[in-house]
Amino acid sequence: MTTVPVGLSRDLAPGRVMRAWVLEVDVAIWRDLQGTAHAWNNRCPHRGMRLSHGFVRGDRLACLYHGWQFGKSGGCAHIPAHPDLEPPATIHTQVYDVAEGGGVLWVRVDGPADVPEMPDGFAPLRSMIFDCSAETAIQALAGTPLDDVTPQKKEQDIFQLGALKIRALCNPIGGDETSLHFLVSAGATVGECRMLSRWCDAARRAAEAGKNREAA
Amino acid sequence: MSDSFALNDWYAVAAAGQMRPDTCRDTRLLGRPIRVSGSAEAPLVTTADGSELPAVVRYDHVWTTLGKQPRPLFDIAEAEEKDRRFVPCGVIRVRCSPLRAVENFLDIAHFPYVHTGILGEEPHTEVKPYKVEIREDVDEVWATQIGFHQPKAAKSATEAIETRYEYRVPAPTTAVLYKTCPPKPEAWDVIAIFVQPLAEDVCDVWPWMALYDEVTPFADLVQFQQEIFLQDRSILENQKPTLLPLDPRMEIPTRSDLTSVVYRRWLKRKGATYGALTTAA
Repeated sequence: MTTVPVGLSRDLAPGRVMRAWVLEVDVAIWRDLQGTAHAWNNRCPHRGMRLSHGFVRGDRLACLYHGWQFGKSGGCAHIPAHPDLEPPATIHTQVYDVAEGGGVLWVRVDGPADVPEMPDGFAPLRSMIFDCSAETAIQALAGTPLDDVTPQKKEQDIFQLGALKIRALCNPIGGDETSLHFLVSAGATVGECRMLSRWCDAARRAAEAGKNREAA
Repeated sequence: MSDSFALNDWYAVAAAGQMRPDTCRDTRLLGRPIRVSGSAEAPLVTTADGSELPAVVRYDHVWTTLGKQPRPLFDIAEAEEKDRRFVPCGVIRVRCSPLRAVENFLDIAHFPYVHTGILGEEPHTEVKPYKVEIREDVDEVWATQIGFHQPKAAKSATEAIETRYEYRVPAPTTAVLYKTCPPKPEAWDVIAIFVQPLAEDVCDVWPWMALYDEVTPFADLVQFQQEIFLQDRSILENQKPTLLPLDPRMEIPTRSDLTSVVYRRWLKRKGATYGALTTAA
């Protein structure tokens, strides 16, 4: 198993929860009010409800179903049906390691998260899901021109588009879908980011159309 | 998976009031395709090969069974009380185990979070001790002496009240709720769900009510219940696993889950495992 990119740090504000996939594992990721991110198995130990539907109260994540609150360590801290009860220590979420680096959230489900070397000079652009494999996604990115400029593939996941570089971090999430997190040269203007965002959309259409042609 | 127990139960498969001679409802029961046709007076339920299944109309629904030795369809005595209003509330398709749908109906601790401002609200989250038993003489699960603070217990409620509840599970896929009737506190309103298992992981839920409420328009009563059940659906379709785990190690209950604990134990004891996970995943 490996450490995978699950989202852009910028997109998870303090007090918010999101859902992500780490390979085949369904994960809830939330950020406490001090700014620390937490990644847990997306299942409340009480009645199996997905914790990504929950809500943050102070420094705890609460399950939407019965409001059970879990503290930063993953232990149950409060059961609203029994406000005076100290929840047994055995009631615990399954906790995964999460790290942040290069503006990206990284999670590993079977050991300490290991953030890969992230070249300097990039800023977050956007996250998207492509309905195709990572390989097809990267091919489509390489083959999708921006105006008249053909992308130059520099490294595995870095493309040069004129004066700008764009990095596409891929996370295959099963079911032949790939979650992609795009970074762009730091200092890109709002107009350039908008243009590149449209280029991402065009690449996705090309990738998914290519996949459909194969299927047909 | 075993459906040997489930085959001999009766299931609601259509609303009697929706029956028209020139139309039919093609649906499924325990994974098998069936067709419901005819009229409310003479309903007809057939299998894919055209053979006829038993069909009766009770509680405003058409009921059928696939079994060779069906257990009798349970009685709801309040259905005979002529001064009540009987309200079939339509159907809600839910992608979950039929048993998860029943268990959710038996749960009060979720009211402040899932039915916020209607059936519950913070800070009134406490579930006080109540009583649960398997009544061996009738082979039913009963939960009694339940009380809960409710902002809007029913369409007829004008203010928050301490509502009293009793639950009854007469069959694995049916639950009946008796709750304080806001305009007539000495009587019980009756709300039931008849769950039609299409398969182990998807069901049609037919809510039905027998109320003392002569004022509220029919459409408003149905709308009130539909809203509640759609809120429940957002939970039920996000529980993992989809099937109801009967192994006590898989999900951790607390005191307020006593009804659910006894319901699961009762299912396991009977071998009513259609829609259940019997071993730890």
